[in-house]
Order: sequence, then C-alpha cells, then structure tokens
Amino acid sequence: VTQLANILDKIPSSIEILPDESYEFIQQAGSPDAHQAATPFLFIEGNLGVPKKALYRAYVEALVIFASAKKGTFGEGVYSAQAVHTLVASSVVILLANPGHLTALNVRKRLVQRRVLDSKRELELTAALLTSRNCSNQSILWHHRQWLLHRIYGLFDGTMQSSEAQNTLSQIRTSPDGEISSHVLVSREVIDKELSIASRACEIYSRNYFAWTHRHFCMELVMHSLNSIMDPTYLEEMAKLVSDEVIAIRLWIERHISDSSAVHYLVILIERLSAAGLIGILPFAFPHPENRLLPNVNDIAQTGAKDFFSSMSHAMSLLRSYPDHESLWHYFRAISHLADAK
Amino acid sequence: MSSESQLLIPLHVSYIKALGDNKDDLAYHMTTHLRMNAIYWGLTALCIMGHKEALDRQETIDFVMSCWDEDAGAFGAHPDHDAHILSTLSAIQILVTHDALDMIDVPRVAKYILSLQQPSGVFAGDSFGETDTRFIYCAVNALSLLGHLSDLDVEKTVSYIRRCKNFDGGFGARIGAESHAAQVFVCVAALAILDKLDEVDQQTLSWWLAERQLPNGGLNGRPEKLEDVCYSFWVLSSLSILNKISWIDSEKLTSFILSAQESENGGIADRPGDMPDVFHTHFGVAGLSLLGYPGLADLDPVYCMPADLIVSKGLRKSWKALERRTE
Amino acid sequence: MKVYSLSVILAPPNGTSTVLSAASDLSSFSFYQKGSVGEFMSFFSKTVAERTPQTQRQSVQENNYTAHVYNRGGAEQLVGVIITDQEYPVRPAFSLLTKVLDDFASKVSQSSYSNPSAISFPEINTYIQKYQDPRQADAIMKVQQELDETKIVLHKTIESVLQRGEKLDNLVERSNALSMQSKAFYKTAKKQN
Ligand SMILES: CC(C)=CCC/C(C)=C/CC/C(C)=C/CC/C(C)=C/COP(=O)(O)OP(=O)(O)O
Repeated sequence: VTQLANILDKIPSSIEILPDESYEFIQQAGSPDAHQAATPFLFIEGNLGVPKKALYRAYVEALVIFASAKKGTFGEGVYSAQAVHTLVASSVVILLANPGHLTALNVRKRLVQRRVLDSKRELELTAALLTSRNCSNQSILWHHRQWLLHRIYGLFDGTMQSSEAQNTLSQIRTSPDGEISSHVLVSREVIDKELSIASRACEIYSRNYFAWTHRHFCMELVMHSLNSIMDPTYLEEMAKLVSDEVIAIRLWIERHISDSSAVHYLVILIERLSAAGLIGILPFAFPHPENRLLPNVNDIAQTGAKDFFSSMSHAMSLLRSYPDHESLWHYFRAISHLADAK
Repeated sequence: MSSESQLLIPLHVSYIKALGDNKDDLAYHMTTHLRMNAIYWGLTALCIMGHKEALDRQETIDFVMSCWDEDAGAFGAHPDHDAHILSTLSAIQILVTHDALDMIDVPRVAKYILSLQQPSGVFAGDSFGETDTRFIYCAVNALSLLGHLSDLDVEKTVSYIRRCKNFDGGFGARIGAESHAAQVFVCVAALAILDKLDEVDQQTLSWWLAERQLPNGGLNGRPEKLEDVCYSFWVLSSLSILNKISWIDSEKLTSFILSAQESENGGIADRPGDMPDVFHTHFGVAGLSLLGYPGLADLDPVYCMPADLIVSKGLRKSWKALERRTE
Repeated sequence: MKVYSLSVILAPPNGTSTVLSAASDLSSFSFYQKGSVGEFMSFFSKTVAERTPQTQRQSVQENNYTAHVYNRGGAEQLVGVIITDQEYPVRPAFSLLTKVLDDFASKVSQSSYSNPSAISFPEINTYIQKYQDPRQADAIMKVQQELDETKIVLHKTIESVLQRGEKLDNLVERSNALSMQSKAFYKTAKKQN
C-alpha cells in the first residue's frame, strides 16, 4: 500500500492496470533501476503500470488500514499527521482498484475541507486517476473534480471551510439555474486542462458519458462568465475559447463519425450559445477571425445566421462523404431544426 | 445461440442465496459499497421468482438497520459507509418489501431526502452535492413509499426533468447531457409517480426506446453501443409505463436474456459468456417478468418492486406489461 | 476514424511472409500497451496477408479493428495491409493500398526484398499520416471510382479467413513473433470486448 501510494503521490502522467503475466516481461525487457526491482509496480517516464494481482492485494490491505484510520480520525475530531497520511494513502489505493468507493472519496473531501489535503494537488491526482480505464467511467470521480474546481475557483464563501457541519448545500452560492456560483472566474488555461482530460478519457473509453457531461459543465462555466463578467480582455479570451471548442469538436466528429455523443454535445453547445445570444462569437461569420473584436450585441444577430449556415454545411459535407452514418443525420437534422427555430 | 431456453429459477435462487457466503472473496470486497443495493436487487429478484423466503427476513432487516447513519439520518451501503440517497432508497425498498418500515424514523428520513433538493429542482446524492436525474427518481420513489410525497415541491422537481429533455425525446443525467436509456427510465418513472407523464414526448421517445433493440435481440443504452441485459429493464419499464411495450420484439429479447444465464452456478451476466452478477440477475429477471415470461410474479416497472405490494399500498400507476404466458 | 498501421508484405504463395516496410500510428494506445499492440498489428497483418490469394481484395474484422488486404499478385508478390478502426471507409482504404503498392514496387527494387532491414521507403510514413482523414487525401477520390466494390470480400471475423482447423487463439499461442507480454494483453483484451 505504501509503495503504491508513494508512486501515486508523484502524480503519474498515466495509469494502467496490467495483466499479471505481462508485467514480468515488461520488467525484464525494460531497464528497471534498483529501486524499481523491489516493488511490483512499474513507473517508467512518469507512467504507472500496476499488475492486477498486486493491485488487488494492496486493495484488500488498504481497506483494513482505511477502516481503522477512519475511526480514529473522524470519530474524535482529532487527526494526527500520521493518521491523515494513512487515510490519504489507503484511500487512493482503494480508489484506484475500486473507483466506485464513495466513502473513500468522501474522506478525501473532508480532508480537503479541513485543509489538511491540498485541493490543487488533489485536482492533479484525480487527473491521474482519470487516465486509468476503469476509473475514467466513474461519475463520482468526475464529480469529485467538479467539486474541487468549485472550491478552488471561488464557489464557496469564507464561512465554508471551518466546520464540517456547515457543509450544507444551501450555503453554496448559486446562479439562477441553481448549478453554478455567480462569481466564477476561471482562466482559459484551467478550462483547457479540463477539456484535454475529457478528450483523453474519450480516447481510452469511447463515448464516455461522464467525460462529455464534464465538457458540458466546463462550457456552462465559460458561458456563465461570458454573461456575468465585464472585463473585455477576459471576455475576448473566453469567446475565443468557445469558438476554438466548436472547431475542435467539428474536427473530433470528422475523426469519429459514429460518435453520437460528440454530435449531441456540439448541437447542445450551439443551442446554448444561440439561446444566450452568443452565437455570433463563433468565428465563421468573420473573414479574419484572428484580429476581430468581440462583436457588439447588434452585430451578433446578423452574424449568428452565418454561423448556423456554416454548421449546416459542415454537417452536410460530412453526410455527403459518409451517408450511412446515423449520427451524422442526427447532426444535420438537429442543426437545421435549430436554425429554423431562429 | 445458447442452449438455454428456460429461466433456471432454482439455480438463480441458490446463486443469490450464496452471494454473502464468501466474505474473503475479492468480489465481496469489491462490492461492499453496493451491498445495500445488492440486497434489494437479490430480494426483488427472489420475490419475482416466487422465492422470497430464500433470504432470511430478520437477518436482512438487521443488516439494513446496521447501515443506519445516525448523523445523517439516512442509510449507507454498508456499516461504516457514508449515507447516500441510492442506498437509502434501497433500504426503504427492502423494509417495505418485508413490511418493516416501522423500524425507522420515517419523518427523519423524509427530511434527509428533501434536504438534498437543489434550487434548480434536481436532487443531490448526498451532502457533497453530485447531482443527477437518477437522484430525483430515488427521492421521488422513496418519498412516495414513505408516504411523504406531499412534502415535495412537485413543480420545481418536474421543471428540472423538463429541462433535461433532448431533441430525441429522451433524457440525460443533467441538463444538456445525452439521452441514455437508464436516465430515460428514471425521468419517466419519476414523472409517472408525480402523475406528470404529459411532460413526455411519448411518440418520439417510444421510437427512440424501440430503436435500442439490436439484431441479436438485446437492447443497448445509447445508439451504436453494445447490448446489455440491464437495459432490458430500463427500456422495457419505460415502454410499459408509456404503454408501448409491444414495440419491442419480445421473443428475441427473451432469448437474449436467457442466453446470458450462467448455466452451472446460476446468475445472469450483462451478455452471454460474461461473469454473472446480482445486478444483471435482477434486471434480467425483471425484464422477463415484464415480457410475460411464464411462472414469474408481476413486477411494478415504476417502483421496480413486486406489483402486488405496490397495489396493496395504493400506489399503482397506469402501466401495461405483456400478458403473463402460461406454457 | 483511425489508420493504425500500414504494411507492405512479401507473400509468396504457400510460404511465410516477410514485412518489407511498415508504419504505424499508435498514439491512441496507452503507454504500456503500445509495444504489444504494435506486435499484434504486424502479426495480424502477416496472418491475413498469407491468407489472401493473388489479385484478391478482402477486409477482415476482428474486435474493433478491420484489416484491409490487397494482394497485388504479379512477379513482385507484394501484399498491402492496412489496419483501421471500424469507422474507416472501405474505398479509400483500398485506394491507399493500390497506391502504396504501386509506389513501393516502382521505388524499391525486387533484389532488395531479401534484406528488408536495408529497404528505405520513407513515403510510407507520409501515406499513413495523410490518410488519417480520408477526405483530406483527395487524390484518391478519383481512384475510388474505378474500384469495383463488389470485388471486395468482407469477413466478419478472422476465423473465416483461416484454414479449416486453424484457430486464432492457437496461432497466437504458437507465434514466435509475439512476446509473452503481448499474449497476455491479447487474453485480457478478449475479455474486455
Ligand atoms: C431501479 C431502482 C429502484 C433504482 C435505480 C435508480 C438508478 C440508480 C438508476 C440508474 C442506473 C444506471 C445504470 C445508470 C446509468 C448511468 C450512465 C449514464 C452510465 C453510462 O453508461 P455507458 O457508458 O453508456 O454504459 P454502457 O456502455 O455499459 O452501456
């Protein structure tokens, strides 16, 4: 448990669970340094490989450690550094083997709330976990990430951190749609990171439901700030982010023509932009997308039509090349429907 | 084609009975966080197969009560696990099935559930706030079984479901999320309990649901994905609530479910040749019941519980399964 | 839509085949998987190449992969194999094979086939990159028209191109080209699908 937890603590760039037979051969073939030879885990160029048997052995051990550490820690409200360390180590091993283990994840949330676990580091760790195939399709891990993002980027107000009893949802400041705080200000870099985690998850587990939902969550954050923040540089940056996203997803669909999750996501994104009066921020209506400014409200209505047109011809051209793909028909129908409604 | 053309009831009964036996198995440790749900699945499948007595009533109730989380006022999935709406619903369903609701402080549990509703109308799964239409269904189902539905702000709840409706008539886990057969079920069943089925675009949705059937008879959860026995329930129950169960080729689906049986030790898997588990065993049996498979008891697709029980509580909604066959 | 690998293979009738030139794009596979996947692609390519009669075109599906094979026949005895995912359209795949084989035959002299490691055919890398998006590689669109699709035999599993009595599992087991590690991956991948 300790060995595995220590490697995880280094935040691997990818995690894989390996069939047992294969592990020995990789180990022979590779050039493990002395330190590595002593552990059953592989850690090469930042990539963690965990043989199945070793993982499950560690898991069963971790459950025992976790149960006893948890009693000591939360029961009395006392938490020694040692106990915290034990909880952190055992819970991450549990989660890697069994990412549906809600209670292990909750313990980590409580440690974050008590500020004994650094939330940014925890964010990095979830990114690492989400590179493992069996973790990447777990709704609670994606939610953990969203919960951390909320915390880090200002959803919780100052009264939240102190006591656990205050962790009631009524205290989360919410926007009118009840989902997102009204003071979100996240940078493009942060969102880009989220989008790339989601894309990666869709490569290792195709049509990953929760990864697409996470993408949607990110774009809602962005659109929310587009509507509530007035700083023009920031607005420009966010508008560019949205249009880059539309372009990226178009490309994704071109490369994954039967991915109806991607089609659904793109259609919803365009619908949301249109409903928010933001369709005009997409670049397709502008001759020189690089040096444009954010259009003012009056321009948006006119340029919006061209953006619809551009989406429609994208769908049309794909259909022409691949007419027997159902998801592309769905794409075309939905965009026409939207344009009509406008 | 598998050789199985019959439901192997005695084998499945002993499979479910044996589930708790090997406490040293890795499989047992991998599923503790689902134990409460697993007992609900096992018990309900047994009821449908006419073998309710196979799990000891008192032991079951004792286990449920050992998962009570006094701080939260709700149930966890296992002693020492945190309270959650999923395990709380399962606990309530088990207690109702065993006519033992008097074991719990009903108003307190109802209060816990209601505390999870968000301003938008959606429910969170626990105090950490993951939201999902699944949890709306859990809340609505549980409140209805507890007799506390009148405490719920119905319009607020329904308005969230309404906003999850997609172009294809289906529903997703959140606003903007893709339609998924299990998420369709939770939304449709919640609307059925709230008597708001007029919110559903019935024709479009029924088409979408019927299109889940693949040439091999099995059903998938989304277009162009693999078939899985559990969708037999999510899709069939939605269709039977919409009174369109005949839109599925029932013969082919029946033989698909039967072919996913494990013929040595019992249990049903997600698809033929895979390892069985209690989740797929329950939803396979549930699907067969809705398809009128001979010898099974009726399942209420709205609550996913024995139908006679729901009738006796006066909670039956209008839905229609296939006529029970006799041969 | 992905092209995973593209190979030019020397396949004398009734003999063992030799890979003369190959390129692959395994970027979508995870770190520890890449090596085994690479070995498998080449094992799979050789297996189907040996089982495609001269002048025939066929497509063989296995799990989520499709191997498109074209045995060009003639004196050179060259076979082209391209492994794609199942979304990849059939016509551009075969157009690509025709093109690569023609190009290879004209640029590499037959006398060098006996020493594959000395063969230089860097164009194969350009082809595999370019054809990742078949719509971008527009030169093929013309060739496409000439290709009679009815001549392509489609096999739903690799078993159906194997000889009677042959089993993929056994071939994998017996293969010397596959490391134990790859065989282990093969077994788990089978379970996952
Ligand atoms: C039946 C009763 C009483 C309660 C159950 C209420 C719940 C929790 C219902 C939801 C169950 C469920 C299976 C939800 C699925 C969530 C989801 C979107 C999963 C994503 O799965 P895919 O990735 O599409 O899976 P497959 O590829 O295996 O189909």
